[in-house]
Amino acid sequence: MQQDRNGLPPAEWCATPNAMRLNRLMRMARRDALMGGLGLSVAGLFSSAQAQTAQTAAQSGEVGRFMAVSERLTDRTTLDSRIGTALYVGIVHANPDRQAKIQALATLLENSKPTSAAEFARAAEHEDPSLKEVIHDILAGWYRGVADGKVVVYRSALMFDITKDAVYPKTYATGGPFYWVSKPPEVARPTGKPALTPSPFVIEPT
Amino acid sequence: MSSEQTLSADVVIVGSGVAGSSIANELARAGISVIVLEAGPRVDRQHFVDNFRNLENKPSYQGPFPAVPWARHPPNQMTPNEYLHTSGPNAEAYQQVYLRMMGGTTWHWAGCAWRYLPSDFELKTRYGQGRDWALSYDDLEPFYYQAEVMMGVCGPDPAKEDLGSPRKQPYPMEALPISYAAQQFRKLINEKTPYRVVHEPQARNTRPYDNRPTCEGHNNCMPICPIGAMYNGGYSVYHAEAAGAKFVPNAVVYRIERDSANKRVTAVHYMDPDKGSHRVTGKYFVIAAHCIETAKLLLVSADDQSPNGVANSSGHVGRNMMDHTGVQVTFISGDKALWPGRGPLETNVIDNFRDGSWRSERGAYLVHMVDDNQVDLATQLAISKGYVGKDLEEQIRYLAAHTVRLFSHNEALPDPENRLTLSKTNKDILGIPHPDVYYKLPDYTVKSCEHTRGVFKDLIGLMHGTDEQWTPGYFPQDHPSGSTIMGTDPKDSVVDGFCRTHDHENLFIASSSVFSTVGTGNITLTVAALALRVADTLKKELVHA
Amino acid sequence: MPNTFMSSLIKGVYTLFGSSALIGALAAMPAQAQGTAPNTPPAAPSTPATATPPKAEAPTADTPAPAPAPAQAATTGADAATLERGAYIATAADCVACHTKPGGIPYAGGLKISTPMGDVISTNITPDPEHGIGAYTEQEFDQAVRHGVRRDGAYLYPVMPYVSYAGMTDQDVHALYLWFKDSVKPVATQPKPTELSFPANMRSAMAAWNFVTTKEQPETGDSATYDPMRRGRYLTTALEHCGTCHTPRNFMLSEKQDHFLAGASLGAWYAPNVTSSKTSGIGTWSEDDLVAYLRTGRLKGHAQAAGPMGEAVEHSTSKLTDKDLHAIAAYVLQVPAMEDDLEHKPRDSFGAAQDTPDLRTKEPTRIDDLSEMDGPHIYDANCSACHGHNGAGTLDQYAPSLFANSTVGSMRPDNLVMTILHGVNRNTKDGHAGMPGFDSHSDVQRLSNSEIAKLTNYLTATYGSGDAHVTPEKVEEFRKAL
Repeated sequence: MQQDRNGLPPAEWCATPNAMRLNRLMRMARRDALMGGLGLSVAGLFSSAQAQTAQTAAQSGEVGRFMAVSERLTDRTTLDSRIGTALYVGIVHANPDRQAKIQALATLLENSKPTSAAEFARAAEHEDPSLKEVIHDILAGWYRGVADGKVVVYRSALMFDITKDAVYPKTYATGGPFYWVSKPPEVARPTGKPALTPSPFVIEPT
Repeated sequence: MSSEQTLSADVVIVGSGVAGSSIANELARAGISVIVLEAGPRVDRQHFVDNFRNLENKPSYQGPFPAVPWARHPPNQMTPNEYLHTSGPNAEAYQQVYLRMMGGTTWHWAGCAWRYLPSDFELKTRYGQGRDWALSYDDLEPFYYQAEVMMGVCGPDPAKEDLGSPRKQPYPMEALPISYAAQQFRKLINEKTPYRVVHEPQARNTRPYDNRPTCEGHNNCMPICPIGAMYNGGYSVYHAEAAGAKFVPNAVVYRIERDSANKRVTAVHYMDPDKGSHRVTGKYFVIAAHCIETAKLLLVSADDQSPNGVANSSGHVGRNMMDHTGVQVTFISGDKALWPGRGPLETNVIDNFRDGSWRSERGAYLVHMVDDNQVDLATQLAISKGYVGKDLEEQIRYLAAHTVRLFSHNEALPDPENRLTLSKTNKDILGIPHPDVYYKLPDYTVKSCEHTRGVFKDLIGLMHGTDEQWTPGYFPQDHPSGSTIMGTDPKDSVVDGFCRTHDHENLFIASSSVFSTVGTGNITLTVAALALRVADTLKKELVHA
Repeated sequence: MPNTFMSSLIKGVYTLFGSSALIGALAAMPAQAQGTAPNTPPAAPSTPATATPPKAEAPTADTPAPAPAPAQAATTGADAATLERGAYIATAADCVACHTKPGGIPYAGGLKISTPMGDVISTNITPDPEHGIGAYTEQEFDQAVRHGVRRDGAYLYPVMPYVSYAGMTDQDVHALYLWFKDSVKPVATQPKPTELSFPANMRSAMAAWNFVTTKEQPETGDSATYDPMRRGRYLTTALEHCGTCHTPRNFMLSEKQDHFLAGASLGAWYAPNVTSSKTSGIGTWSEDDLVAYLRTGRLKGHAQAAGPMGEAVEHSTSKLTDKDLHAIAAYVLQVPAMEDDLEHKPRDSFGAAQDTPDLRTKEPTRIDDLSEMDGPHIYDANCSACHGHNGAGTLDQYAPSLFANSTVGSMRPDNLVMTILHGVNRNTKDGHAGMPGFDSHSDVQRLSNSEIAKLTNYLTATYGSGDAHVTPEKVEEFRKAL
């Protein structure tokens, strides 16, 4: 349905916040239609269809490869596989072509054995520019806790782990009354360079 | 279908937000019988907290409040959206959001509890612009204080920080200690600019107050305070119920019935979600249903007696729509880390542009430095820049610590052409038309916004800012007002200085819809003060009778 | 009747005497100071027309000022040292807790103390000659305080802990009398009389109980000169009357002296075992720990006072001298250990911080969807904002951790349920401790019996000594108990 909208490619009609929101809503409506009547969640985590996807993915090693790709892209060695499974299912559900692209990333990882996220991402985009979008999906999943336009985790998203010495996730502030008066940590200007080419950034509308 | 049972009370109020519920509370405490008809359902906090956490687009403050079909509210601030349709040159600038449910829109306000300036009530006299109100600041002062006590407002010591609205009493609670980010912003503005930053008065607990806890800085005043430290209309609902007022949820009023002389309202009619119709009689009626819904109800009630709508002999119902349409920018400061998002959302304001002789030329405004957790925005920005892995994490930290968001409330003027009408094409499931609003920003406001952009650019430069993200066009502030404008002349206004409609002696309106000008401060405290003044008038008349 | 333990006792007494007024004994003490609060109209925002707004330094809660300002020229000719002593004795004996109604003038009485047979209304003990104790001679005052006999000869309901006060020295009773006469402002108001139903209204039955019950033996000499242990015993047993709540009672409703401080139910709140037992009591606490608790109402990372104990700390123990607090602590910590029938591991030794990701599958639901959540989600939506997603509380422990927490760890969920219902409101020099209640008057969130049961069971299972299996019916009993 995305492609149907006025026949325009996403880059053009995603130009304004309003358009971006409409896009998202339409995507959600489509998903809701697809999911309608699929029944209640299994193990409280997924719809039955998604649970099946998760199970299949786990058995086939897809989730394992997704975790390996994720660990390399985050430069982390311990990511939670429960979150990973949910993210993988969400990402693939939103865009079925991601399944193959994630496997492509995994193959690249196995073959080239990059020593950093930056090296890996650079190589991936070089090999296939469309892999950038998949990398964005994976990073947004782990750091923002979202996939498929839905919250997979909120307070457990990695962006809050990185900043936990300074701020709390909204609604989970446990500094006690007036904690905010104190001085938070200073942050040095980062020296690292982007590994991927830049993409347009649009603030989500309210 | 009509209900056998007729409800009746001394005073019938439409709407249970801060205006309706605080009137109900005052009257019930005085022994007067009250029925409040609320279009939306009963709600509770815990489900909103859960909804917020499950919401993907966290900044969307309507997001945690999906409406019921019989009392829809705008789902978001987009144009077009499925409820409030706006048109005109600045349609996007009037895409207001509000909540139709028990307690009203203060479930997701930020607690900013400004009094208007004395000059805001005399814009025409002082600056030759807009209108004068049919009451003065001094008339409202005691009710401002009553509203501050009711809500629990914290604010600065007037001897140390005069906010320009003379006070006879100190704030009920001491001002909120400000965050590190705000301290730094304050210092910068005070030292490097001719401006000043003041404590924003807030309906927020700086100590336990009214059986609610002290603010713990969850940074989520909008859309939902998770602990109840900030006032919302729901508390007044609870207090009014405890005092004996009757609240009827899911009661969508659609008709205002008058006597044969068309001088007195005799009843209102509401539909339940199943379209069952009910009649409610009373001695006095108060419409307190939010600026947009109040005008809509008066227009929907048009009949042979009042073909243009109830209380609309002037033709001004639905006209003069105003807001604090503003400017918003987000940027990355090049200075030291601020880490916004520690503490409540909105605590600091540059108030130098709230009044001045230039108001004869351009609108006033105030500037909020929003103390909003920017981690999610930083993450999105850093990903879009192409960072991955450790570099991404460093960027997120840096950006989250250095993001600054500023927005302004710019004053509009009452222009009869800015008008709410009933949709000819869209109706809700009860058959009630949706509201349409035509909006063109007054030049007065456009000039004000241009001035604001200049000031913002200076501030960005001062803070060595980069990555400016200007919200496109103009930014609606959800402070709609003016749709049943107040005035002394029944020919060009809808209510008098006591919020009584010129046309119907027992019909009052308690809403920002009566504002004659919109000033710059957030509107809620003035809505509450006007409502308490309505309660005072009703008490006098009912006790006298 | 909220408590089966107590109700069975009461039945026994009823049979014995044909009078159940004796149950008043159980209803003693500060417990009910808080208990009546929910029955009063919710504190509504006052308006300028009807009330002055709360002052910044005073919370809006109806907590009476603990000590009245001297309002009268001295009438007794008592010296300053004696008056000071009397004031301190009044604080240590916590007279104000019962003899002041919420928001009322200190010592003017009127507090409704609920007992299963009716409400006992505390009396005016200001020196007003008509409505208070202004006409009492010192001997008559002594008869009331230490012997439970009113000026007209009638026996007092044993809600008044005269069996404890019986242990006071002559000198302290003298100082207390002079202080009341001299420094307390007379208030000419008459609290409503206590009207218990027959036969509980037979004060003669009180005489019988008074005769058979065990009373403290009066101490002698100058209590200020006692060695620490004797001073501690004096404060604990006679003045602070700790046993009134913490010591279980026998079938006569007299405190079981061989179970001193072994824990007892107050009908809703539970006054736990505070003997020196290292498993059932507080034997693992140091003297400094107990002093900190009595001074501030909390021991960080272990325990917090709420309900009646919160009031006892606020009005009384937080105002005692360091030396006296140490004396009490030293004495209490050597009280013979008593093993509890339920608790075999320290109440503050259970649980640990949780660390599980918040996997989410729901999207926002419609505003009228108020369907009940499960225990973990009720916790997440109502409690985690302050107590943390991991139960660790706030950094400063303003909101305490829920693990290693004596209220959550207790095998008796009574105090946990009562805290969820009524919250915490405790003021000491250490600051204010506040938690909103979640009962049917709450403005923050009104939780159903079922929700509170699920929440309690989740908390005890996750951070405490195991699923408490509290039922909604049980929560309803607690809800009605006060």
